[in-house]
Order: sequence, then C-alpha cells, then structure tokens
Amino acid sequence: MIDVVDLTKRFESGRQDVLAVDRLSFRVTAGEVYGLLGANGAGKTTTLRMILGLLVPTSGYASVAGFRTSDSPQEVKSRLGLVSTSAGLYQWLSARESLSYFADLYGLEPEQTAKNIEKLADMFDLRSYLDRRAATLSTGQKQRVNLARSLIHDPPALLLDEPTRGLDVMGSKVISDFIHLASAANKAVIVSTHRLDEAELFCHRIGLLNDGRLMHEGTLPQLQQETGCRTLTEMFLKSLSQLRPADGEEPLRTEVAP
Amino acid sequence: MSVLSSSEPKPPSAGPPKLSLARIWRITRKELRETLRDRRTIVTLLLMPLLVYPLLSLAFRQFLLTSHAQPTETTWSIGVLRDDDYPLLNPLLKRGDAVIKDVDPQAAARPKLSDFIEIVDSQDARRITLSRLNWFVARDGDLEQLLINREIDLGIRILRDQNDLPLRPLKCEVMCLPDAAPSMEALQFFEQRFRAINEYTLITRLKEAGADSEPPIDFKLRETKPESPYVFPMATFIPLILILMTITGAVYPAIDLTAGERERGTLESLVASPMPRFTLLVGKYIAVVTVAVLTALMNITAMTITVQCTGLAGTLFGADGLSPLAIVAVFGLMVLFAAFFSAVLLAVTSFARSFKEAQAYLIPLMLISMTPGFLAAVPSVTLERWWAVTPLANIVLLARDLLENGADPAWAIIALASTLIYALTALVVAAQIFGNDAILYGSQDTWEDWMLRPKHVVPTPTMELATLTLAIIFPLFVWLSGQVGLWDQLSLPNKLIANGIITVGLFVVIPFAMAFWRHVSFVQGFQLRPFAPLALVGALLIGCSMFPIAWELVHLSELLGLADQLAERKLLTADLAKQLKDLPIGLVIVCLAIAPGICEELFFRGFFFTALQRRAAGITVILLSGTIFGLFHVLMGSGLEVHRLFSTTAIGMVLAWIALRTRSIFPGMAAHAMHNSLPLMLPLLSTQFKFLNEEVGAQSRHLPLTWHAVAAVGLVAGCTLVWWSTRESVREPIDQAT
Repeated sequence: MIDVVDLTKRFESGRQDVLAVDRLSFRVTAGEVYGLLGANGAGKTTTLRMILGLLVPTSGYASVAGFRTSDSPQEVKSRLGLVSTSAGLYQWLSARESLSYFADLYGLEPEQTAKNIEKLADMFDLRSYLDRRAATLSTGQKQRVNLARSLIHDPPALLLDEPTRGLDVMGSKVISDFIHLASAANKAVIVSTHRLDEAELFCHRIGLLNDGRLMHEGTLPQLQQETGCRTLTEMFLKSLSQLRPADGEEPLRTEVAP
Repeated sequence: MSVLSSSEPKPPSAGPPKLSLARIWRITRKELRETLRDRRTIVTLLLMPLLVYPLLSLAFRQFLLTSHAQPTETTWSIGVLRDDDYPLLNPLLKRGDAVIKDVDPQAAARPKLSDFIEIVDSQDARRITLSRLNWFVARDGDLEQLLINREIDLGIRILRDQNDLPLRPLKCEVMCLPDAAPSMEALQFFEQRFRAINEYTLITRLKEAGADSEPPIDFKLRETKPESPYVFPMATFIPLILILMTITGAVYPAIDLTAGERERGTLESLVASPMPRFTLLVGKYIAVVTVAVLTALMNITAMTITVQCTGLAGTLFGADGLSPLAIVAVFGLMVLFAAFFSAVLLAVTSFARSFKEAQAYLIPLMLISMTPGFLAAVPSVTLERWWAVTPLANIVLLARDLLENGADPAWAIIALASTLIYALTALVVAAQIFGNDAILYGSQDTWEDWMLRPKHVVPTPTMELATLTLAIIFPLFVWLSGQVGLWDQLSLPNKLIANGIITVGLFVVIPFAMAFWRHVSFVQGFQLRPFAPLALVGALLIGCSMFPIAWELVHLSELLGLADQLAERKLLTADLAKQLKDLPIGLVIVCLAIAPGICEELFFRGFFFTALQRRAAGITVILLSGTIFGLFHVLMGSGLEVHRLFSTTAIGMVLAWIALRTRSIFPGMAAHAMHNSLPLMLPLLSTQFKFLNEEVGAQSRHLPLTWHAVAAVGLVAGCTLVWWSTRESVREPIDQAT
C-alpha cells in the first residue's frame, strides 16, 4: 500500500546543510501498523510530510497505492488521512460543518458526506456535540472530531504524526483504539512516535530511525533478535549510543541495564 | 463499532476531487460562514459604518460652522506707543474707508470700521476696543517684542519732532510679522486705507492744479462669487473613500483565511487534502471579495443616510445631492476595487505565519495603497497610457472620470483588463505561497527555491509563472504600443525598427528571461521542437488562406457596430501604406510581418501555451490562448481596435491548433509571418490588389468570391496536411526529457 524507496531529504540553507532523511526505504501493507520510532529530529515527521507530498524529496520517492507522490500528488493525498496533535479546528464552525468542509475538499458528494458523518458520529461518539461550535468543545472532544476528520473520505491509508503528544491517559487510549480499529478495517497505518511503550502496544512492525537513517526494522521479536535487546527502550538507547560523534564531541555514553 | 468500509485497496471515494461550481460554492460558503460569524467581522461590517459616518458628519458640520464663522469675527490687536496715537490714526482710517467704499463698496464691506467702544486700562498698557480693532498702548515702547510674542498683530510707531509732536504730514512706521497670517491681514487692512487716502489726495490736488489727473492705468478688482455655495468635488475624494472602505472590509478576512489557518493549526490538514491550492484560494478570494463588497455596501448606505439626514448632501455632492446613478457607479467601482485589492491582500497575507506578521506586512501596503487615492485630486493626471495600466492608480482615475464627465471607453477597458490581470496574478502568487512548506514548517530553503533559480530543469512553465509574465508584458505592451507613434523625432524606418525591437523585447526577451529564472526548458517550454516538413507546408498554406477570412471578419465587426472608428482607422492605415511604399520592402516585411510572427508565436504558442497545457485540455487551450492573442491586438496603447477582435482571435485559435498538433512553434511562425506579409506584398505583386492600400473610407469592400473559394480550398488543404502529418505523433506522450 505505502512504499518508501531511498527517500532522502536534505535541507540546504546558506552554510547549513542538514540531511534530515537519508535513503529511507520501507513498505507498509494494508491492515499493517508501522511505527516510525526515533528521538526528536530523527526525521520521522519529515518522512511523513514527504509521503504526503507536503515536502519535496531531494531524491528517492514515496508511493501510495501505486501512485508516486512526485507524479500524482492529488491521487496520493486523496488516499491518505492525516492525524496530528497540532491540528486545530475552525473555531466558528460546528463539528458537522468542519467535517462537511473536509469532505468537500476530498471530493465527496453531499449525500455521501451526510452518510459518512453519521457513521463517524456513532464511531467517535460525537452526536451530542456535532452541532456545537468547535470553540466550545473540550480538548478530548476536539481530538475526536479531528480523528473523525481524518476518516471522512474513508482513506485506505493513515498517517499519524505524534498522535499522543500532550494527551492524557484517556486521550492516548482513544488514539490506541483508533489505530486498532483502522488496522482491523484493513487500512495501512504509519505512526510516528517517540513513545516506545505505545509503539510496542499497537505497531505490527517498527522502524528505528536515527539521524535520518533507518537503523533497525522488523517486528518486535525480530528486533529483539537483531539487537540483542529485550525492550524497545533498550534498542533505542543502544542505537543512540551508536551515533557517530561530531568533530571534537564526546559520544553519548549510555549504560543499558541487563 | 467499525471503521468506514475500507477493505478495498482503492475505495470508490479515492481519487482527486472533481471540480464543479457547486463544490467551489460550498468551499466559499464555509469561508463566509466562518468569517461572518466572527464578531471582529461584525464590528467592521456593521458597527464601523454605523458609528463612523454620523461622527464624521458631526465633525464636518462643526468644521463648516467654524470656517464660515471665522471671517466675520476677525479682530486685530494694533500696538501703538501713546494714548494720543490712535486718535490720530482713527480719522485717517475712517477717511480711507470712505474712499474705498466710494470706489468699490464691496472692498470695505468686511470688516467694517466703526467708532471706539471702550477703553480698557491695565497695569502698563491701555487697551481700547474698536469694533474689530483692539488698540494696544505699549508704554514701554517695545512694539517689536509685543509682535514677536503675538500679543499684537501690527505695531504702528508715529514719528515725532523735537517737540514731541507728530510730523506733518504724518509719518509712521508699520511693523508686521510676515509669518503670521493675522498680522499680514491687518497690514493689508491698513495699507488699503492709507493708500486710498494718499491716492485720493494726490488726484484731488492734481485736479485742483489743473493737471492731467488721469492715471496711466485704471483697474478695479472684482471678486467672483459663485451663485451656489462651495461644493466639494466629489470625484476627487470618493476614490480615497473607496480605498478606505474596501481595506476596512477586506483586511480582517484576508488575514484570518490565510495566516489565521496556520495560527489555528488547520493549514496542514488543508494542504494535505487533494484540493488544488488555487481552488482553495479561489474560495477564500470570493469570500474576501464578498465581505469587502458587503462592507462597502454598508458604508455607502450609512453614508447616504447620514448625508441625507444631516442635510450635508447639497454641500458635499452639489445641488442634485447623491444621485442613484452616482451610487450605482460608486458601487460598481467598489466591486472592481474589491476584486483587485482582495487578491493583493491574499497574496500578502499568505506570506505571513501569524496574525501579527500579517498585520506588519499590511501596514506598508495600506500606506502605499492610500497614495494613489490622492492622484484623483491632480487634474494633470489623466486615465491614459501608463496611468491606465498602473495598478490601483488606474481604478482611482477611472472612478474620478466616471463621476465627473465619463471615462474614455478605450482606456476604461484597458484599465479594467489590466486590473483583472493583476488580480489574477496576485491570486496565483497567493496560491503559490499559501500553505507551502516555508509557511507551514518554516523551511528556509523553500523561500530560496522560490526566489532563486531552481537547480533542476522543469519542462514547461507553471501557470503562475505564465500569469506573472503576462502581467509584466501587458502594461508594457499597452504603454509602448502607444509610445512609438508619439516619437515624432524618429523617421519612419527608425519607427519600424523601434517597433521590431519592442516586439522582440516584449515577446522574446521577457518570456525567455522568466524561463531562465525558473529554469524552464527552452525546448519544451517554447516548443522549439523539430516538425514534419509536410506540417510546415500545411501551415504555410493556412497562412496564405487566412487573410480573406480575417478581412471579412473585420467587416463583420463593422456590421455589428463594434467598430465605429473603422473608417478613421482605414484612413490611417492607407496613409501608413503610402509612406511604407517608399521604404525597402525587405525592411517592412521583416519589421511588420516576420518579427511579430516569430516573437508573438514564442509567447502565445510557446511559453503561455505550454503553461496552459499543464492545466487545461486541448480545446480550452486553443480557446484561451486565441482569446488572449485577440485581446492583445485590440487593447492597443494607441486606442481600442475592436474591429480586430474577431479576426485576430480566430487567427490565434488556428495558430493554437497548429501548435497543438505539431507540438512545435515553427510551423505556426511560418503561418503567422505569411499571414502578416500578404497584405504588404500583394499590392506590389499585382495592380488588382492595390485596393488593399487605398483609402476606402467608410465604404466596406468585400473580397471577390473567387478569392474566398481559393482561400477555403487552401485552408482545408493546409489543415489536412497538418492533421495528416501529425496523426501519429499527436498520440505520443509529450516528452518529459530536458
């Protein structure tokens, strides 16, 4: 469903030259939840933005359902749903109006939009506040509306960018349920996160990203075998310790408990 | 509970959205809903007009009252040195006053001189009040200091002899303060009266002596007073109000719908959708224009009601007041202004990442936008030539002309067309900026990518680049095409060469420079591809055969009443043809046929054409490029050439078809140059074509039917050859190689 092949992004600005993503390759199939794990600045979000077509790759490509982002950006965008914790809502519109608006942006006809909103209202328990202005909704309610928005066009693939950042336990639980449901509905899901416990919980396969490069990839048992570490936290710290130090800089030393 | 059915890899809803007017309306409706529910919009839309105009009218009334009352209450303080000085001066002033009244009763009418009313004692000075003159006796003798301190307006020192008696005849020194208006007015008052006495006395004495008392010149000053009270020239300040009103209405929604998207975190979701950014911007644009027009409508309603209720209509807009026709004209201009300004605002606010940043960008823009508002007050600036294509200034001048004596239709249409082109350009620039990753994520490299030359070659220009290029070429074309005729110092050959240089500059240099800037492949971007030899033969046949049809289309426009100045134009053409006869035919053909043929093809069927092809299907490309080509031949800087609309548009479409089939610019160039050359060459080849260069006056002369028959055969044969020679190649995908 989602193919990432030698995807590279280099930000060049004056004297600065940052290699944000370095020849990244992986594949996510329908119904699979793929976790992109890495510290801040590892290149997770940049990768998602390139898959979505919001950033142009320096080299390599990403494709969704056979459509390359660079060649058919609209085809790709129409097949992806995006969930981001930083996403907001239109304060002066009701949840229903916001959902209708996005349905229009994704090319749904009004009848289909009405049906999808009904389904999503049941699914995310929106019915009681569907016609209330977004400004009057609680954070949890807004989160649910945003999740519903990502599914309004019923995409075959979902991208979740740090979906639990800043959320409480209940908020995180909603996200976790959402990912399980999306997987059960045969959607290909990519989740970028630095929450290792969550990744263990809902990702079928995990890609450990460090400094823009994919250090390890596989299911949890495969990763355990490959790295010799038991938990993702251990693997993560180990991969961090393998970082090449910059000139004149001491490498980061970490002790891993047995 | 189940997620929406998505077991299929490609669900029915997948795929980019199909665009329709209904969908654009739904997108616009959301923007309007959001904007109109915001209380900040309500403030600018409803409260501002309801408060501002009554307050302005109050202030204006106060101003009128003050300005009218002031002259009747003018009083001057006149400083003298002694108590017995003013009794000496007062009778002289009275006599002077009487003389002036006798000569010209109006001159002394205001202010009137009358007797003392009271004398006021103070510690070191004695103040004596005369109706409008306050005599101020300065006992310390320092009249200059009193003047500087503005305690008096005029100081009069009467010169005295050793016995402290006033000199005879009376001699006095009058001190004034040149920088102070009251001082100069008082001086004039005294001077008039003293001079009147002197002149009167001299003339009387001359008469008594029996001399010729007639002065060498006798003149009277007559002040002209209008019958009706002074009326503010509405046309000079309405444009300024237009700008202010539209700015007030459009600024907030423009910021909210662009920079506001990022601030509230909705921008990423928006640009992650498959809806093209230009369509998103169109929705936002319509919403901003609507709010701006609504605000303008509210303002004009509030203004009309206020001036009617307060009785200021006559003072502001003349005896007829604010007529319904003037209101409609003003409203039409507001729509035009809103259409332009909203696009500019969106382009500017799309740069901003926050409300604050957008406001910072808009302050200079608003100040710049105010400046043309004052142009309307400059009578020497008229809506023509450069001004007709200067953004903003052209609307202001059009507004003034419409409200005064009516605008010249040619320049009005050019102003309208250029404004719409600028608005479109601003909109495509906004679409380019809105939601790009520099705005979304603050990526520095994207700005550089946008401003600097990209590293990688792109096959064809974007529509944004093509529109920007059009917006640069069009005003220059209008201006320069009108200028050449005005260069009287140039000989005809030099004018021809200048014309050729201008054509090259506009249609070759500018598009190639733009293509170089954005690293567009010259070969693909300008369709500089090889072509089938048969296609060239076909194109030449078409070029030979189009002339009779074009000729008849010109006459058709005349029949339809679209070319009322055709006779005049024909005379000019005939005159030009006579002059051209003396020049080498090679020079004439190169400058008037081949150069335009090559250069115009490079732009209209090259750069602009390939950009259109990125966005539109074949038939749309033919229609659009043909229409733009036609408009360029109508909206000339030397005047509106409506009679050429049908013919040049039709030729543009035929040439576009050739370019579409052959995917090469060269056959079209040959056809174009051939078409241009025929009317110049035919009269030289045979005497039967001489009438092409003759004065035909208002009489239309149709071409013989045999000509049309031959041309039709040629056209069909040419089209068949082009079609046949490209029947295979046209199905192949356009090469992407650079």
